[in-house]
Amino acid sequence: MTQDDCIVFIVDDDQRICEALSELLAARGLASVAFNSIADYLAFPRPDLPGCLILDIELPDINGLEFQKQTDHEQHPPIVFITGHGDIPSSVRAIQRGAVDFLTKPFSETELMKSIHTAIDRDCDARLERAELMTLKRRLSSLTSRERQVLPLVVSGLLNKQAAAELGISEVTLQIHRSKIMHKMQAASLADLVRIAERLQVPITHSRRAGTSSK
Amino acid sequence: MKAMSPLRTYGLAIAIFGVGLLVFWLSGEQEEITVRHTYMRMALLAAIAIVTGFLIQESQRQAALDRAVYDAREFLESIPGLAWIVDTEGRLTKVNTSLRDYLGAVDTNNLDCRQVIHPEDFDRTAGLMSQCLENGQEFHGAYRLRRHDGTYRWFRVAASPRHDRNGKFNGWYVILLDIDDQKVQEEALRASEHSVRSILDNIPGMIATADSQGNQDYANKTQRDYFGLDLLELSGLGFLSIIHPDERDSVAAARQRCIQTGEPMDRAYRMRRRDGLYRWFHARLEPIFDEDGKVIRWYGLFTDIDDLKRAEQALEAKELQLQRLIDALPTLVWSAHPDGSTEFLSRRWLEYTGLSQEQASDWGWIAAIHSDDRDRLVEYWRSLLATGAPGEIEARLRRFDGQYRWFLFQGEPVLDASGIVIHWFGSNTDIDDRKRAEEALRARQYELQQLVDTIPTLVWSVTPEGEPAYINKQLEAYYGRKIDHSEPQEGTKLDGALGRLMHPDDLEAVKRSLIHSLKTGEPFAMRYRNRRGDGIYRWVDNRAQPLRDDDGRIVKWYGVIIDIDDEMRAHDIVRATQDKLSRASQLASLAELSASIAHEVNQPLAAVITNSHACQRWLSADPPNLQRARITAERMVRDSMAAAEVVSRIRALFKQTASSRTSINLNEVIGEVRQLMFDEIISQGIFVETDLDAALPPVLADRVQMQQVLVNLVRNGIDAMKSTIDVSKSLKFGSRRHGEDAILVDVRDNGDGIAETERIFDPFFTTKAGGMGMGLAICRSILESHDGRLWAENIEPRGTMFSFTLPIQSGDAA
Repeated sequence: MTQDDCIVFIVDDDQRICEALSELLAARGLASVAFNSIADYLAFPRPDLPGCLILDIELPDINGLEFQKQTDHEQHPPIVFITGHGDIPSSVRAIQRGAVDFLTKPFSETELMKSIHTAIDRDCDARLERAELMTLKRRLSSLTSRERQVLPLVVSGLLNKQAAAELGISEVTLQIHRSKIMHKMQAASLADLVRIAERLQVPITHSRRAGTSSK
Repeated sequence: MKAMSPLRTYGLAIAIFGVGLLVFWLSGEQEEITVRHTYMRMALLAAIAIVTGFLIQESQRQAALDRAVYDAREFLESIPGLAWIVDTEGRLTKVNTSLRDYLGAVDTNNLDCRQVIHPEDFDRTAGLMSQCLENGQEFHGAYRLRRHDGTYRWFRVAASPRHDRNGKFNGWYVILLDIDDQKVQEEALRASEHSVRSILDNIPGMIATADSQGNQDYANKTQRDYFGLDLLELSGLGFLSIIHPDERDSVAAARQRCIQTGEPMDRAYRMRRRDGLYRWFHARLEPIFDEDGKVIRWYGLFTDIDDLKRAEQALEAKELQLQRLIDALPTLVWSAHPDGSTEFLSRRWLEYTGLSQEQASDWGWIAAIHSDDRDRLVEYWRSLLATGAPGEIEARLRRFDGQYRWFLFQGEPVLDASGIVIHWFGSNTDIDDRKRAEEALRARQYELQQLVDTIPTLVWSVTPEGEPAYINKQLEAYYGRKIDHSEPQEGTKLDGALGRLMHPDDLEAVKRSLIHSLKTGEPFAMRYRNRRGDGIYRWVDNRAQPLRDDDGRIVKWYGVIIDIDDEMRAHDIVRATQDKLSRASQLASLAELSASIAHEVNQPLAAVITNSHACQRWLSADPPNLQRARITAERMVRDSMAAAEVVSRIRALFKQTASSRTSINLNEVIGEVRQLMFDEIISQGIFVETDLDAALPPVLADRVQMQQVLVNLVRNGIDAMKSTIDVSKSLKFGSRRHGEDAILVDVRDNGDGIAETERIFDPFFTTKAGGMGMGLAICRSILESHDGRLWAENIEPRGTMFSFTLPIQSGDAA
């Protein structure tokens, strides 16, 4: 992992902690930005880089855990909590909500760095996945409305004939739509298309066996 | 010249002659003879003269005698009475014509006088006559003489004894005067006098007469019998001896005055009875005057008035006693005429009102009545006068000093035999104190009644037998009905009442307990379900105590019923909350402390460690970044110092506690804390007051923390009053706005106060044996974390006040 293309955000109302953490991360070659409050943090235009948030729980404006609850897990970098007096219920809740770690001050460098790396890795993965999904979504959006109607039927495993009947179109027409879809979605095979559809959460609405529309 | 007896005349002449001879003879030797002859002749001449004179005189006398005999006869015949001469034998020797006529044609010579004198009278007078004879006295008497027609008439008789020349008694000269008519009159007079005398003697009064000089000359029998004295002893000044010594001098003086002036006497005094006892008499002496206006006699009437006097004295004594009684009565006594005007006012009445007899007379007494009561009283009084019925009324009477006091005016008519009102008797009794007491009592009773009816408690009472006696308005409202005492009941009223008002499941137990209490007098206390007026059963706490009289007998049972249904329901919730809180507040001090310490110490510690790692990194870099290493090292030093400082300023450690702040009303929190601490407060006998600002703005705060702060302060207060015994413990909560942007809450106790109002907030500073000294430190840190302040001050007259401020919630409260 590279040291330059990631960033660590620090939010702690204790300026000393902010300084120390920044210093340590700097010494480790990690870029960091420190804030004393969530408000400041939110006001900062975050660069589109993988990163993580080292978040103190006791903050003047909002409780760290509360902030976590409110954040968009998809978009927000992973959080490593640091706290002066951690209690088990809080830490459990934090972890359940997707926190990378829950460190009790004072924490060791190793602990911290491990958590940061984990977080950044996780962010990288998430970002990657997010990018991929974005591509797929872009592709999906390129489909016509009829194609978008066809897609769920195809990935549901209906035969062309069944799908055509469902839509009240000819089997030939359906086949044309299907090939267009395969192309647009850059699917190598039907199985690939099914996987893509799954990732795009295209609902599987029909079953080949039943032959009737059902849930 | 008086005629001389012949014998003495001759004797005298011889004597004179003899003297002449004697002188002649005796003087013979000394005198000359001539002289002697002269003497002789002179004596002879004298003797001759005397004899001659005598002879002349004798002849004259003889002539006179003859004439006298004639005259006597004539005289005897002519005297207008009967005359006789009797001899010693009682035979009539001579009688005059009148007598002869009287006796009729009887030969009067030698008539025995016994034949004509009434035998009774003869016998009666015979003794007297013989006595007169012996004494040579004349006889005076009266007897009856038989007239010729045989009737006897009374004659007054005068008889003188008759002697012969030798002086020998030879009969009586008797003159008789017809006094028969006179005698009859006399008899009548005597009878009349006798009758008068017997009247005088028998009248039950003493009658006396006295001469002009006051010497008593008559006393009737009553008087004589009374005094046992005779007239002699009473005459002159002798009567004074029987007058009571007390009146003696005055009576003597009065008598003297009467005698001198002739004024009648009219007075009462005591006179001694024969047995030595003095009795009162009314003496009235009237003079009789002659034509010249000179007093001739005194007539006196003495009336025994002793009984009267005694009765009078008794009456006087009684009257005096009555007067004293009236004056001594602690009430104002009066009497009035039938027309309502004043007749009599007791001394007290006059003294009390300060009015004079004149002022109060007639209807003047009205002036002493309070003007507000006057018309009412007068109207009432007139109504009594009109009807003649006794009555009483209350009104204010003015005292001499102008003060009005309430009196009870009572009037009672006095009727005569025919039922007509002749007087009104009355009394005015001071009832002011009583009236005031009554009013106070009434007010107090009313107040008590109001109190009993107003206090939000259900009050009841029953008789010792358990009969319902009273329920207050609240209880009436609670049951939605009155307990009708006249309602017919099966069994006792209590049974009926219980049956209606109790949950059937509790009925038996309550009844048993109540009957037990009624029987033994033990206080009754039970919790059970009561049927409210709306038919809903609710839990109540019913307690009753007996009221006993001085002898320990139960007079009444008084009870209160407290609806505890809500409490019963809330109880579990409260208990749970309390448990939680007490656990929390106990743990809070330790857990929070450690957490705070941890937080506060760990913060710089974490910085130090992190910096040290960074420092290490910079040093171990290639090339080592000494510049950055130094910076981190400096920070390490700084933060370590900060950590050390934290330890020395533990209070600061509590600054950053996690809290969940919401908009809360401190008044509510105070209410909650009171509720939570209720048992503790009550068990300590503490009286809680509140002075809460109803318009208290809300604050952004942690409710639990605020509870903790207040619980802490309340505990502190309770602890501070633990040793308070001389005054009633009180805890006072206050809340109000503090300036523009804050509120202030205070908790006051009246304990002993505290010596160091600032140090108590230092951690580990404690004045309590079991205290850790963290409570107030935490409280202060909680408040400071809320941007508030907490402080303490001692208050007058005693106790401590803890106050804290909190900022009022605003849009950007941070």
